[in-house]
Amino acid sequence: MARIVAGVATSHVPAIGAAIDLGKTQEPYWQPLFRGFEKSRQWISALQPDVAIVVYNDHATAFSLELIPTFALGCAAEFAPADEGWGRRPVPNVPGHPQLAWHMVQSLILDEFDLTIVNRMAVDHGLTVPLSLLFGQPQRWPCPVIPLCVNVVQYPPPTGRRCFQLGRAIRKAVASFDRDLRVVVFGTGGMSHQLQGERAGLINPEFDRRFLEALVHDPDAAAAIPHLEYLREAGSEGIELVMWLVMRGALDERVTEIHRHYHVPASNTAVGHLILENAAPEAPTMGMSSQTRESPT
Amino acid sequence: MSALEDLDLAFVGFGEAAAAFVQGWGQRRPAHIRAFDIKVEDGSAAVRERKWQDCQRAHVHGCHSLAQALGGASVVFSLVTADQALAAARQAAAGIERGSLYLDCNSCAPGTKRRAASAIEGAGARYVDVAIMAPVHPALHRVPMLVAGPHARAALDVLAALDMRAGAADGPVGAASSIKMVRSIMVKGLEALTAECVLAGRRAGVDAQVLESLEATFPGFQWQERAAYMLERAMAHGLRRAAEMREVALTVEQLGLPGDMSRATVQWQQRIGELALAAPPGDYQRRADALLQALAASPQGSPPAGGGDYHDIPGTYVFDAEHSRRGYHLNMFCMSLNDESNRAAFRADESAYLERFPMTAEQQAAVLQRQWNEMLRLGGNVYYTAKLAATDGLTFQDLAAKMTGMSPEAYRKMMIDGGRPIAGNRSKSEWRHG
Repeated sequence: MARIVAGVATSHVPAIGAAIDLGKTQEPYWQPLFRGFEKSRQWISALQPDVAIVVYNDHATAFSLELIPTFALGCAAEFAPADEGWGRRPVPNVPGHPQLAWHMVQSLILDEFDLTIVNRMAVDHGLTVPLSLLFGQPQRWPCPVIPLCVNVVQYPPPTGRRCFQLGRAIRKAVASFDRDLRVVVFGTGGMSHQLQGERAGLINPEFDRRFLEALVHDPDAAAAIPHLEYLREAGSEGIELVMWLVMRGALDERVTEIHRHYHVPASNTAVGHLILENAAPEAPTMGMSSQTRESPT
Repeated sequence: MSALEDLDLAFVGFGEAAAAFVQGWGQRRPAHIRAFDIKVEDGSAAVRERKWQDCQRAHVHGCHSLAQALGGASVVFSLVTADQALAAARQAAAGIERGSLYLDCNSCAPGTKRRAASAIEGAGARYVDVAIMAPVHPALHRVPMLVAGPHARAALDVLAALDMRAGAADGPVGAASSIKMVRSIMVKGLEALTAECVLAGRRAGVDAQVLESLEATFPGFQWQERAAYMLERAMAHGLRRAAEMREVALTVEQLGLPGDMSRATVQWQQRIGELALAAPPGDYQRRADALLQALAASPQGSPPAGGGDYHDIPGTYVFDAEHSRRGYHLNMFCMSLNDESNRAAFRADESAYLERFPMTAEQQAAVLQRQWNEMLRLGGNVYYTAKLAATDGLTFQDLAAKMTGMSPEAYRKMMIDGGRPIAGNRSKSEWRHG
């Protein structure tokens, strides 16, 4: 049976992608940020997941105002990186996992999550930047990826509670897939940032730290945060954090925190990063990740 | 040729002005009058029903579609709100009879009228720039008007046959509306000034002394009576006036001047209009008190149900349903810039490229002048406007800096130093007093 072994939370700032693509990761501005991902890259290369489900939001790339799905699951065999206005990122095409994706869609819809099914979709920095942060710059991505798009651009996005419940349903869906796959779920976006208007540049480290704590130890409380609080406290784009709740919902109630990193700024954004493993991982996972484990803070 | 009985007439928009014209004509009216008003398609049944009743009461044939109203009409009056005038002309172009007169009576910037003219003329009809120069009550159909453009002569004949009082503004399309727009800086601006002055005076308990002193400075102006009237105007028609004043500000800016006073007038007219408050009978004091009470109960516009008070977050434009509807074409223009060939076409001739998207004149101007916050106010979303920034070679951080009014260096430094703090940035009240 397939199972979810770990969750990764990370911001997906486009400038991070540009820094990687342009070889700037060791520059003084960027170095502290990327240093916080070195451990993560070791961890994931030891883990060697079979599939990554990446929860992210499309930024006016595959979807425009013509069509705004609240939740959309990519079921294609391959997804091409998009030109978002700055030209296409020099990263490989993203392989999908149609069998698991279609299985998830069926399970989720019958579980009363009415997802939109997507068979052709360009993927933007929301998906490719987290892959670059964890996998570096390979010729081919090391595992298939299932994109799960959440609308956080058109107000209102789904509530944090709904995202959390979707995560739980994903966990059930994956667990009922009849192949022995080890799956990692990425929740991306955030943390506090505002890209628009006269208040652009807002950063709220207090909110971010409280959110990180709640997400790990008291996810119900994190799921209860209303939209207004995200908008006001974490900036208009901080509301992307609801996508971290999908990842958290897909994990066990109790998790082990493997790694945490927080850095300000990447361009306009506070970067947060977590690696969480299910509390009682089975033997192979535990063995491979033991070297990189650090005690929860 | 313009005998009354031969006229087949259509109204695009059947609001206060159109109803006043029909009322003024009385029995001496064209045999056929049809009307289409966008409110018959409103989401609210009550709004739709009121509009049908308006038509019925005026003995005008209300139509379910614009095409139905235009079919067979030789004279068309466009009397919609300023922000809808261009869209109405573009839609009318699809159904208008060749050779018919299209009297665009809306209060729009000259540039907007020229764009509307090219749509109507392209359909083989005759466009006339018309400006209504005074309130339609009590003058009704005899309200003073100015007409301009190549078909002004024909329009004057028709208007004379309709017993209307129109004069020629010499010049091309836009000449009449220029007069109207520049006049409105004063007329609608005076209403906004009066509102701010009287409300502040009321709250400070000094309104009577202030108006008395103004009367001494401007003898005969009758400040108390005027204040009561001007407050009533803004309460009844603030939204319409705000739409007009956006066009006025655009007119001023297209003349190479800052439109600050007009933009501030937009704010007051919009704010008062949004209260949807019926003006109580009586003097200016009762009206001012009703306004003060309603403003206190509604600190920032009217947040949609369930939306919470995100309107109170300063310097933030939440992309909600209202923004999304307003900004659809603006955002879809930005979206098109994901394609390199479109970026090239846009760079080659920005104005021509923008004509592919039925944006408002205000949105077009904001794009051409790269007024990034104005785009957000007009319904733009930053993920879309960022594509325009990318086309200009800006990074997201450059764009953010521009929206905050900071230099790229100062903004970058603020971010490196930890970003804009949350303290003092939660509520508009903190920005006003802080």
